[in-house]
Amino acid sequence: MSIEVKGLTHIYSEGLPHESVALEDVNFKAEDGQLVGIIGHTGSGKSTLVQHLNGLLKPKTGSIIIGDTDITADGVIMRDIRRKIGLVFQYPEYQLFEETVAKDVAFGPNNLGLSQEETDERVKEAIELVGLDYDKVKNVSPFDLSGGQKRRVAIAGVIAMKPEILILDEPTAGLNPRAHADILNMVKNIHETERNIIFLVSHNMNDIARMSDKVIVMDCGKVAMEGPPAEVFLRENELRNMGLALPDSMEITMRLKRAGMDINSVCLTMDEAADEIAKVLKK
Amino acid sequence: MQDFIRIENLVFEYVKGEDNTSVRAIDDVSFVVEKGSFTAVIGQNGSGKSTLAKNINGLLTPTSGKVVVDGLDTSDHDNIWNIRQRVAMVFQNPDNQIVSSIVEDDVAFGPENLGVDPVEIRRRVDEALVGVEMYDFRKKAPHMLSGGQKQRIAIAGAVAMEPECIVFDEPTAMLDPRGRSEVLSVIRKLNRRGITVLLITHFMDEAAQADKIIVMDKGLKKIEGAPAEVFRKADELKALSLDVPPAVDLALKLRERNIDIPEGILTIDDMVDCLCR
Repeated sequence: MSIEVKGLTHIYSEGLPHESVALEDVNFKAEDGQLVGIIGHTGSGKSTLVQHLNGLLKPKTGSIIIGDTDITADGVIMRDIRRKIGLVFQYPEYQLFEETVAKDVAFGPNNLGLSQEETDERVKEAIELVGLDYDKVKNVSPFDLSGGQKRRVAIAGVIAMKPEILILDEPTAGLNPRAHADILNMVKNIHETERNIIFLVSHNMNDIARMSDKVIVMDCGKVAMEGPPAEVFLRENELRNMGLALPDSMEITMRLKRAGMDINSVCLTMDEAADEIAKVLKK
Repeated sequence: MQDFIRIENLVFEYVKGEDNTSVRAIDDVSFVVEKGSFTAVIGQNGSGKSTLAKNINGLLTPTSGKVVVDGLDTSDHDNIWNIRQRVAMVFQNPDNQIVSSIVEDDVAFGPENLGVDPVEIRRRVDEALVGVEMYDFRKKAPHMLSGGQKQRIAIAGAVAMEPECIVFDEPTAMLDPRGRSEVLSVIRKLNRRGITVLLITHFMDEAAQADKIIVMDKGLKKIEGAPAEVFRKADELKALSLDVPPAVDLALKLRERNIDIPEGILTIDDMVDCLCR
């Protein structure tokens, strides 16, 4: 599976006095097994982009080709597209509604018209993949779980659809540090198990630096940068001008470099930064 | 310094709908907040942080124990309006707090409800908007603003009530890096001007800037102290599903690599000073 976005442009309220160009000539590609981080400050077009990827919005011009289907073409059956692409919105736990965890996760697969056995199997698999104990939680009300657990149940509901492309919009927002780490491990685990394409939209530069194979930086509706995190986060001034920041590890190494330390400042995790600093100090 | 908020053996229980069992969200918590100070409250989801915040301005009142704000007991119903004039709250999601379709009207909502004189309202609104650096946006519609800007409007709304204390319940959780630093710098500025600040947060680098940190877990107060003291207890914090600020994390990792880093490093500035001296 691959996804290619070509010349995507979207205009809100076209022809009205407050019309605004939300996306302008956006191009990029992602392939199987890639985890793509999407960053950009509020209003940069991230959410508009993501809503195009699963067909919630239609572009003014341009196309999105998934596998060999152009999902922006006329006559495409959106149901088929949404089977392939799972979108987890911000604060997905607000979308839980069923009486039990198992029923909530089964809602999507049930609507695909799968057999009961197939559905049950997928539900069990998805709940385990998000790191919950199936036998313990299946008959529990989702509303009795902790915030982090609720979020995992909501994500399981999307995973149970077995999407080939999974989009996670701010999956760690508002979680305490442990739940935050758990969700990231879960994303990694899903990625390794399913080998699908994952788009991770986040304001957290530490997560983006650590998790992504490739980073897409959105600014004013355009792709401002695209590349591996080690390249993107070296462009400090450009990022700051867009209202973005560096991962904490590089926030420190860049400062040290400016203060005169002869250090390799490309450190995507705090452990790498500690290794580099130790190397310099022990010289 | 003078105590502004005194919390004495606070217990708060709520009753679960279906089976009528009561759940203890806050369990015998005591501490004081000094006038003009900056206190941060950290703790994992469900630790009782927000319940604690709502007990401070009388949105919730104690099951037992006492919360006294500026000498006023929150359990005494006659005190509620006086307390809410002294303690304003700002919540996580700015969209849930903005009531008007024009920025300056929104900021005026609080003082209008307090029955403040119109001329005085004008002065307060202007001052509050200048304070949060949003004066140029006073005629705009809030929904056209970014998250950080909306949150600053919500803060201006609280400031226009001229409270002595503002309780912030995870005000930066939904913001991008720029919005987060804008909001935090506004909070620090208000504190420097004498407003007592209580900040509930999941961001350890924000908590590191406070005078005092209260660590909550399962309704209990686990640790209380200055940031340097609290963040020295990295293992204890990790056991409570919490973390340490980035500079403290790096200090620990460097010590593991046999590099001598002095205690008390809390911020990136401290770390750079220490390593490049």
